[in-house]
Amino acid sequence: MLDPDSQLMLKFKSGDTISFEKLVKKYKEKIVNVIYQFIGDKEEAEDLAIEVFLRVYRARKRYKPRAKFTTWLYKIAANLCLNEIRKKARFQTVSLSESIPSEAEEKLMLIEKIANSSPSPQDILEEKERNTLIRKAIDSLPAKQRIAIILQIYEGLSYKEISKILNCSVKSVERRLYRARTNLKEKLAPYLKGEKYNGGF
Amino acid sequence: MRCKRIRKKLAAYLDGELDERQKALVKRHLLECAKCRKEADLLGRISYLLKDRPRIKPTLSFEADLWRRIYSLEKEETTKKETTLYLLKWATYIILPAAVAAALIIGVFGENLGEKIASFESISLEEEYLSSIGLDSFRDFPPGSLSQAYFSLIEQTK
Repeated sequence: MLDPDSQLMLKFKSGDTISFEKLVKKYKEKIVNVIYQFIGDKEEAEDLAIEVFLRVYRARKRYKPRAKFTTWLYKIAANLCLNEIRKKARFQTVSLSESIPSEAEEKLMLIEKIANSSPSPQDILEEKERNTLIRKAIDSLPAKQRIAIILQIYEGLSYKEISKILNCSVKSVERRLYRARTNLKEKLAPYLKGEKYNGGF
Repeated sequence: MRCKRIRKKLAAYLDGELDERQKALVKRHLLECAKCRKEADLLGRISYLLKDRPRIKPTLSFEADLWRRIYSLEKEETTKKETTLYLLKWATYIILPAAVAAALIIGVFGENLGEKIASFESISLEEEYLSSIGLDSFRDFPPGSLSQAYFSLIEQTK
């Protein structure tokens, strides 16, 4: 039984452009966010998300529903993210250890928050600082650990789905996620103690 | 050793990715081991901290930008197709007839050239023989003369 998104994709394959529009509407926010969490820059994330859908568009004639549509879509997004990181590493235009979110974007968000202010400016500054630290911690992860943890935490995907997206075994996903969390634990240590968290085990 | 093995399973345990048997094993260990319990607590907090990050909304022009890219892509592909067709047309109307004509010319002149080369080669061989026996300087006698008949006889014996 095909998932409804694969059915839409098949309709698109036979020439129904509206089906493609529906898929774009449904997944644009998810894809932009996955890429944003990975790259850290809103504008770049949106450009890459457009590229993801452009690839879907171009592949329509060759499309065969071998897996869930979302698995295929996330696979395209993950590959683009990994390529982007490789490109950046090659040309060394951006250092991975430096903060990636644009300064202007951060300031704008801060101003908006102060304007709406229910929390105090002190709280806002602390949150900004915390977000920057989390961003840096995510950026410091090796690319494959980073994409695995983003797909797991932000998209709530199962290890099996992640393994299909990243073309690796479930065991390998388990190892990557364990290592990613261990790495993050060291970098985020100051924030982990005070976090409101109800355990759950 | 047991703690080390359990810790490697903690992330999967927190994500609900272990089977029932492994899940029970980890759970039992966590009840007994305070250090691993603390580790599990920290790993759980990481997920909580990360999940809490703000999500962004795509800009309003997202779809318009996408369609703009699609149109320019299609235009590019149409241009490529047109160029290929144009080249094929050229190939059909000009390049192919030109190639056929060139092949014919080479064929005709090539044959004559071959003959010329062959005859040139036989003349050279004849001259080489006469010169080798020292008679080439007596070759041009008037037709019908005794000397000419003599040289004809020599040539026939070659």
